[in-house]
Amino acid sequence: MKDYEQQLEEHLDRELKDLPELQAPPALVARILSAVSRRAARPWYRRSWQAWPVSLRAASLPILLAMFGVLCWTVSAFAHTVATAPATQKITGELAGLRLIWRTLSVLGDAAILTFRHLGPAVLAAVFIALLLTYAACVALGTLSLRLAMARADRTQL
Amino acid sequence: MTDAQQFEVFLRNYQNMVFSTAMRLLANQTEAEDITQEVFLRAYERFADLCDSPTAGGWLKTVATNLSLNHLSRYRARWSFFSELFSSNQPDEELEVQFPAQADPDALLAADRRELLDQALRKLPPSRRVPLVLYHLEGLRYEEIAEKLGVSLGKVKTDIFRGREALRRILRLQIGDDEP
Repeated sequence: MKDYEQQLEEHLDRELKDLPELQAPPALVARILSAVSRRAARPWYRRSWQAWPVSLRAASLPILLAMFGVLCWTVSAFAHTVATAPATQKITGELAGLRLIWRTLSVLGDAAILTFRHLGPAVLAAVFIALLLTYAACVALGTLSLRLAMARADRTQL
Repeated sequence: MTDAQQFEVFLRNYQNMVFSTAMRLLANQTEAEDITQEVFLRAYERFADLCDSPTAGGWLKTVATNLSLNHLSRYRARWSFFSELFSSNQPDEELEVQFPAQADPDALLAADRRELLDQALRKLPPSRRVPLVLYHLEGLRYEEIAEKLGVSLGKVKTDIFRGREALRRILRLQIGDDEP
C-alpha cells in the first residue's frame, strides 16, 4: 500500500498537470507587438551584437582583432623599454616581466605600510570612507544619467 | 505572409503558455505580463531560428521560467526577507480560498476544482509555490530545482512537502486514512 506522502504527491501531480493554460489578457498581444516594433526601430548600435547587420558584424571582427593586436604590441613595447632601462639592465630572460611586476608590487607594498604607519588607522579609515562615498556618488550619478538618457530615448521612440 | 504576420501568429499560438508559466511562478498578473513581453522580445530577436523550430515551445517555456525566477530573486530579495519569515510561519488556515456556496469539495465540478486549485496555488507563499510549480508543472527534478533556486536539496524537499500539505488543507483533500 502506498504511503500517505506518495498518495498526496500522485494526487496533486494529477490535479496540477490537469490545470488548463491560463488565458493571457486580450490587450497583451497589442502591447507586445508595439514593444516589438519599438525594438525593431532601434538603430543597430543599440541592439545586441547578434542582431547587428551581417556586414557590421563581419567588419567588427577584424577591428576588434586589430585593437587586441595594438594592445599586445603596446604592452610588449612598454615592457621592453622598462627592461632595457639602466636601473634594470640585469633583468633579462623570460621572467623579466614577472620580476618587474613583483618589484613594483613590493615597492608599492612598502610604501603602503610606511603610509599606514605614518598616518595612523583613523586617517586611513576616513580616506577609505571618503573613497567609498565618492564611488557611491559616481554610481548614483551614472544611474541617474543612464535613466534620464533611456527615458529621453523612449520618449523619442514613442 | 510577412515576417510581422508570422510573428503575430507565433505570438498568438504561444502567449497563453508563456503567460501561464510566468503567472503560476509569480502569482502576479502585472509581473507575469511583463515577463511574457520580455520573453517574446527575446523570441523576436531570434525568430529566424524559432519560427519553424519544433522546440520553440520548450525554448519559450525555459526562458519564461528563468526570467520569472530571476525576477523573483532580483526584485523580491530586497524586501522579502522579513515577509518570507512572516509568511512561512503563516498557518495554512489563513490561506483560505473562496469555495462556491454549499460546496462539498468532492462534489465540485472539474472546472470549479481547477479554479480552486489555481487560486490556492496563487495564495501560497513563493517559498512553497515556486518549488512546487517547478516540480509538478515544469517537470524538474529535486536536484535541478535546488540548483536553479540556489538552495539545498533538503530545503527543496521540505518546501515541496509543505506546499503539498498547504494545498491539501486549503482544498480540504482527503488522502487515505493515515494523515500526519
